[in-house]
Amino acid sequence: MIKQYKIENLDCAHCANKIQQKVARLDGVRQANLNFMMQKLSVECDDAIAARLDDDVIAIVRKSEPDAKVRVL
Amino acid sequence: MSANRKLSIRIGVSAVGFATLWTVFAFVQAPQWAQLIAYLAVYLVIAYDTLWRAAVNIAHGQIFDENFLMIVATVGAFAIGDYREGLAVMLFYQVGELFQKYAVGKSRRSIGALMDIRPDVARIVCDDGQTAEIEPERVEIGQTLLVRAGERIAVDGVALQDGTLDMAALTGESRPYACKQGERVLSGAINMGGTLTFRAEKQYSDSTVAKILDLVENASDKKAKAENFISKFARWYTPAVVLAALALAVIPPLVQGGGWTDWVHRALSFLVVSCPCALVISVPMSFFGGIGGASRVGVLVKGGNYLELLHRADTFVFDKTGTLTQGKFAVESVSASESAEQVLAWAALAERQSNHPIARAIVQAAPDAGGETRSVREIAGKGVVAETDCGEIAAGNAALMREYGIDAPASDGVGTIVYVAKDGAYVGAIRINDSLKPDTADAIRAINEAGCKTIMLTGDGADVARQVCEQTGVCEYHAQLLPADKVERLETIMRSAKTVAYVGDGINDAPVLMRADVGIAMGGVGSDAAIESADIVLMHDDLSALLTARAVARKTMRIVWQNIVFALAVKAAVLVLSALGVTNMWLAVFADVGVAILAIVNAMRCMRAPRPSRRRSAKRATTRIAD
Repeated sequence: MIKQYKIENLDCAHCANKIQQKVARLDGVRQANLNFMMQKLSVECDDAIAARLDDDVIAIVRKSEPDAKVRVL
Repeated sequence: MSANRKLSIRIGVSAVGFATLWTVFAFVQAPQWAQLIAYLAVYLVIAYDTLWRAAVNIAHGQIFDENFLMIVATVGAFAIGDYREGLAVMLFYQVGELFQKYAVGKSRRSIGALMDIRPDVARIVCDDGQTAEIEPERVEIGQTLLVRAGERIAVDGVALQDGTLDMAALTGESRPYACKQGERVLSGAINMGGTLTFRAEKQYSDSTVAKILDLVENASDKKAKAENFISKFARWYTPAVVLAALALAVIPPLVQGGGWTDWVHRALSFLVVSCPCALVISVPMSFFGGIGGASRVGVLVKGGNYLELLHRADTFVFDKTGTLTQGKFAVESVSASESAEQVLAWAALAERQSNHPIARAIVQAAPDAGGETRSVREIAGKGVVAETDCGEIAAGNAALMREYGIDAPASDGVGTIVYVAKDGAYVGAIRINDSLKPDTADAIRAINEAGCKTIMLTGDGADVARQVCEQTGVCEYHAQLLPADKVERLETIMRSAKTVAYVGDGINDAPVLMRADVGIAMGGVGSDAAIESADIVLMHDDLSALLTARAVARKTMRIVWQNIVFALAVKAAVLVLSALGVTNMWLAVFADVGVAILAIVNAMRCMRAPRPSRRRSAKRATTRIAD
């Protein structure tokens, strides 16, 4: 399934790339794409991990870019 | 207070503090410790957030983090006694950060404005004749809607009266469009005339405007090679520069046996330029700007990678019907042993129920064919045989005539020939033609002149194909292809070309569009199939839109590479000069922030879509060509 997140206050493109990379490395994630200009993260993942994904994404974003806010779309 | 506002105030306060301290200490002989404390106090005002983030990131085990590196560089400057330098570097760094945030926000907003084609409201007409405003998302199919002058049409539908529309948001074409009653109206168009009513045919989410917005907003999900290259480069760049800085600080003093302060100073300059942000930010910004700007002129691009591929394309393959030609067929001539009108009327009688474009052309040419049709058999790829009260009429190609053992004279000249036979005897032949789009030849010439190869694929015979190539200047053709052959032929072409763009109308060539390196669908307004399968959708129906798309791709790629080369060159120069001790941290931070600002400003130029350079040519008469 595909889950989407809005990441607000994402000002650093390099951090955005790091976030994308880390999310893509999560177990069960097939593909992750962070659209820096739209501040939108789309994650294609196995259904089994979908419930857990929100927390993982929030944790990753908080670590890489503490000022950013994550909203589940 | 907004974060940017707060940061600007901090920058202002510390800049004033910095200038004051500098002036005061130029006149007053203060002890070192007093100077240190004074500068450190200002430093904390400007750097506390960076310090905090660096600490948090260290706790998370990230050492090559730009916050941390800036802290190391500036604290390092303090440690070797360059208080002013340490403070100045941090100050400029923050100015750069502020500007970057501002620029990103501004470009996000202006791209948002660029795509502001979302209808705000839908006005439904209730049974009692009253109107009610609802959200476009809540409109249901079949409802009657009313648009006042200057408002946007909320969902796709059918006009219930004549009107005038501004389609600029969809096609980039600013000329008003006169729409007739019963004609399709598209969401996103602005009503320019008086009040217009229409019936909703689609829900908002399936309507053109929602599709366009969705496509453009998700466009940069597909990243260009240039962008991936930069992300990869950025991952290695920072650690490499930091390690080089470390080596520079340690190795030469050990070898020379001294001079620590000087070498550490040089190394700190390295840290200042170790952040790859200018590069990393300007590339997606350029692509996004290019895609947003293109959408304004009726070119929808599904990803930065397609702009890149279109720019690189060295071979353009075109479908013929509906792409190079108008795809509108008309009867050109009728050869008959007796009455031409009678032959047309018989053919029209037989073809009356068919939806084939050729059949429609015949019916249009003979609107009042008398008589009744009792039964019709359509023979795919050949024609029709109909039982009518005038007798049995067969209308179709030479193969149909052969199948029925009818002796039809071979026709000379080109065009689609429909042979007509009545009760097993040949009565005449109808020649049907399609015409070139007015700007086809100009567009093909422009592409040829740019050094690209042009190839046409068609299901028609070689005669027709050759004639179209002569009239348009297309270099090469492949004729008599069935739809399935087209994919195969395209693959053959792709083997001998670098990058192949395929241009079709998206109606029956979806597999070819998908197979090509870049699939470009023309006249995409309202065509779902085209929007689904193409990589680039030209909302305009003529080939000049292809030139616009090429111009956008070229401009975007030029800006992307300008930024990459410029930023890398400046960074490399700063690194070399710092290593040699020619420059200092002041210059390094200036160069770094300056490059970032210039790259961002340059990237924002992408939002203005260029018009293709076109020589004005004498208006060509529409040339009739055979199909």
